Amino acid sequence: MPERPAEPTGVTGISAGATGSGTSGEPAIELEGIWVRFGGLQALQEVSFSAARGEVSGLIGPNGAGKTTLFNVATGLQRPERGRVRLLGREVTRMGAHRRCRLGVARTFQRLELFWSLTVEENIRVAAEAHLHRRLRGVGAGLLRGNASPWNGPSDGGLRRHPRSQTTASTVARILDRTGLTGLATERVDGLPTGTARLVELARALATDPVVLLADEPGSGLDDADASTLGSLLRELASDGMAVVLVEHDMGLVMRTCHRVTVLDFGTVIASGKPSDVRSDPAVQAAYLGAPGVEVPAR
Amino acid sequence: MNEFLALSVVGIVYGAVYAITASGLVVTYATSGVFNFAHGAVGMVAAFSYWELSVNLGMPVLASLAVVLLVEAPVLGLVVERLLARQLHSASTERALMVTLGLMLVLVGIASTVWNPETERILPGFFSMDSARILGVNVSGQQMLVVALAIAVAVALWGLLKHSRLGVAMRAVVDDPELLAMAGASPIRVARAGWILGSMLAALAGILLAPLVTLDITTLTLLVVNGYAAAVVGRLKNLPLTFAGGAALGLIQSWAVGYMPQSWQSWLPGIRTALPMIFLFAVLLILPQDRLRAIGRVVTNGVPRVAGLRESVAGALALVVLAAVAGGLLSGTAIATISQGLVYGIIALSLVLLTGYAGQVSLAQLTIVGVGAFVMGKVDGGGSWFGVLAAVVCCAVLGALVALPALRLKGLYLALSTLAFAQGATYVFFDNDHVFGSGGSIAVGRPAIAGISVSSAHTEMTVLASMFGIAGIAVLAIRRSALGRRLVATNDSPAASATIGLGVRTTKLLAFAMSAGLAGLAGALYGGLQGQVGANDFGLFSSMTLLLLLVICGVRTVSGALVAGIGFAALPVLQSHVSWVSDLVGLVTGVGVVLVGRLPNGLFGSSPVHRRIEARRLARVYTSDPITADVIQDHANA
Ligand SMILES: Nc1ncnc2c1ncn2[C@@H]1O[C@H](COP(=O)(O)OP(=O)(O)OP(=O)(O)O)[C@@H](O)[C@H]1O
Ligand SMILES: [Mg+2]
Repeated sequence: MPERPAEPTGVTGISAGATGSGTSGEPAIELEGIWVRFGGLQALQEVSFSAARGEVSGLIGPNGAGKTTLFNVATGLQRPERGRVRLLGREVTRMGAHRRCRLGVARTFQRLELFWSLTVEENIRVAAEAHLHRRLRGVGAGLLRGNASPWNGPSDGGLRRHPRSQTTASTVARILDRTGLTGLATERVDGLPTGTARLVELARALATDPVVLLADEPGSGLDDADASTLGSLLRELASDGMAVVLVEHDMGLVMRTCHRVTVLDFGTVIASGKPSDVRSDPAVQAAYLGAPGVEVPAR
Repeated sequence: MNEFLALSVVGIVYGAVYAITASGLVVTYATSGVFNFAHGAVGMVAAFSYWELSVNLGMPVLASLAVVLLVEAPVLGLVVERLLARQLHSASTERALMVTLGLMLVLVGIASTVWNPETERILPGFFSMDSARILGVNVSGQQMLVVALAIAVAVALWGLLKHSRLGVAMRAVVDDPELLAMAGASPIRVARAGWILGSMLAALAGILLAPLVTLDITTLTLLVVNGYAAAVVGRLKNLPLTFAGGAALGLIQSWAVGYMPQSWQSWLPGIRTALPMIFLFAVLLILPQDRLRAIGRVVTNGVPRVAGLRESVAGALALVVLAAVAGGLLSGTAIATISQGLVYGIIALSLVLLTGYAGQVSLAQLTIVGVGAFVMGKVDGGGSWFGVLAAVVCCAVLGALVALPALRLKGLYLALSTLAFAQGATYVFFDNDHVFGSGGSIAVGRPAIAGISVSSAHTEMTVLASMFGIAGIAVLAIRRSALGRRLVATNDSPAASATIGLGVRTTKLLAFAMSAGLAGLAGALYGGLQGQVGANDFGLFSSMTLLLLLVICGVRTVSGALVAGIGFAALPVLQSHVSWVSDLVGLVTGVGVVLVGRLPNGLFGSSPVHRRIEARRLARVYTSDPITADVIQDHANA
């Protein structure tokens, strides 16, 4: 059961407020009129959503509203029946997940999808390596239709080896540090508590140096202090120019962190706007307080 | 016209049996989520039991049938469900696959112990019924009976699934076990019913099939594999499609026998037998596949630590020294066995790459090895380093080619396609007189080292030990490289790999190519060691056994590969001392796999994690960033 949105603090001074309000840039990712159906269930219905660089956009809604499905559509893991996805102005609706990543989308998974047999450091490193080789190959990558060449590791020897692995190492170190995971670098991820594992997912996503970061309930499993650290991290990332999308059931975190909030219910957008406005919207309150029978059992 | 009808009748009869066995597979899979590779073996055991009762003990046909179909088969299903299937409920596809493969080896082992495979047995049809002429074609009573039974099975299953509560529950359980639990049915009860029913259908198919072909353990176990193709047509869910698939396969096979041009059959004598394999392969390829999906947390506990470069070099040196010293002390037989074991160990290493790291199950590894040995024997005089190189390259290319169409397949379907490839290759390549000559074997030599030909068994063993050492170092180096991380990542979570920009297919393709290249090397060495290689060295069962042994010993570890290889070579030697049981290799392996089903890293993969070594390595990597390096070190020492 999601937390009720009514909280006295609201948008408080806790957030850094790094970006002045209203300076939202071009939308980095735009989803337009998305429809998704699973058998008899219309999971998304004419949903439009966009996120701009420099902002944290919240995406909330009761269980089963379709938030994760929308992320799947955005990242290319779910093909929509209808609708279009644009990334930095480029149409990517039919593009596969790994190619979209190379254009700059990254995400975390609500049901953890870590590389369980690797360590924390390796989880981040494998993403950094995938990304680094793309950057180094630059224009050539486009000519090769963006297919990852296997020969990207340190194994390709020669003179470039040293600087290359150094770059990866420094990227990984920076991300470990920023997410506060440095002390756990050698830990295998299968032993981590859920909250920490979610941070590793976030760190791994960051290692691909994304323009758009989709975070699916990154705060669940974290205690209040860590959750607010996470909130500030997301704000910082946004102020560095990233478009951050946050799906979260912790209303406090959403209200503190997001510049804009969109509310999904039963696969449709029922409200969108500034956090304080959305919170007081009667339709949203109804969706959250819920008529009897609205409650969906946890899957 | 008459010929066509006659062929069609035969086709329909075979198709009916395939359909029965396939429907059993589907029922079990649909209720428990486990694809039972031992399904064919269950049918085989039933056919032999039926022979035992009705022919050997002279019991009446109906009584024997009743005992086998209504007592033995259900009990077998129940036992399997209780002992194996339940622990597989939430296990990965790969684990379930290994365990049911193990069960298959156990059943084959038991059967060959009880019923000596050397003895010839004839299983007559049920009743000496008159044949009838239908549309001008002679149709025997047995044939009519088979078709009638298939129709009866279809109708009964349809009724069961449509109208009984169990049937409704069966359909629900695949889609959503939790939903089923909410509706009040117990998933365990449903799965139990599914195993019992599946086992009975397997038994019926086995008993019907045996009189049509021969009462032979391997033939029956593998012939029922043909049912897999039919089941796959129904995507393991849809019974009507499964029946249609069975009928189609039977007809295609029969028409092919009648109408295939003579020239094809003289060039590829095995082509007819291989048809079901080709059919299975083709069906797998055109079958629509699920999209990449995020599936959430799969629990894998305690992955073995990856040894560093210094450690792996030290290990390899120790192995070579050991081989050099021990060679002087051991008997000729022991040296021969260990040498063989080292070569098998290299094959196992190729599986560590493919299955252990990249998570791709291949049941065709020895097929690749066989091609390697063949290339070695044919190129440049049959004993040169150039031949070794050619074997490696050819096999890597072959591996990639085989994998290419299979790239879209996952888990179970991939395993099935490699199985089809392995068995198909046996029929059309290894058993082919044009390839291995009419004697069935070709000579392969050993490459000379620094101009000196390796002739003593002792030296050969040392050479092979160093080969294993080098291969082991290489495999570990790959695992520690960026490529290795990619392999592991793609296996752990395909969805997450794609979203960090890794091309899943490229990665898989590479894994197959590298693994096949290493298998090719092993093939060249195997040929040189044996001097002669023939079709029998590279069968499907050997591939399975070696893979399962490796799973027992630790599919992600080099030490596991070594032990598995030696074990694979040593078990047949042990066999000669244990005469009361035949197929010791299969039995030990099968039982072992079933027992270690719970240990995901095998016996040798559970060593404790040495965090400090890892931390020291990382600290070196992060020298550019002293603070991070310090934190890592401190944490590891804490
Ligand atoms: N692969 C799938 N197959 C069938 N139904 C699905 C699938 N994925 C999601 N659904 C259904 O679609 C609906 C939306 O699911 P989704 O996971 O997007 O919701 P959500 O808003 O993320 O919910 P939560 O807050 O619980 O994470 C749910 O009813 C879910 O059961
Ligand atoms: Mg969700």
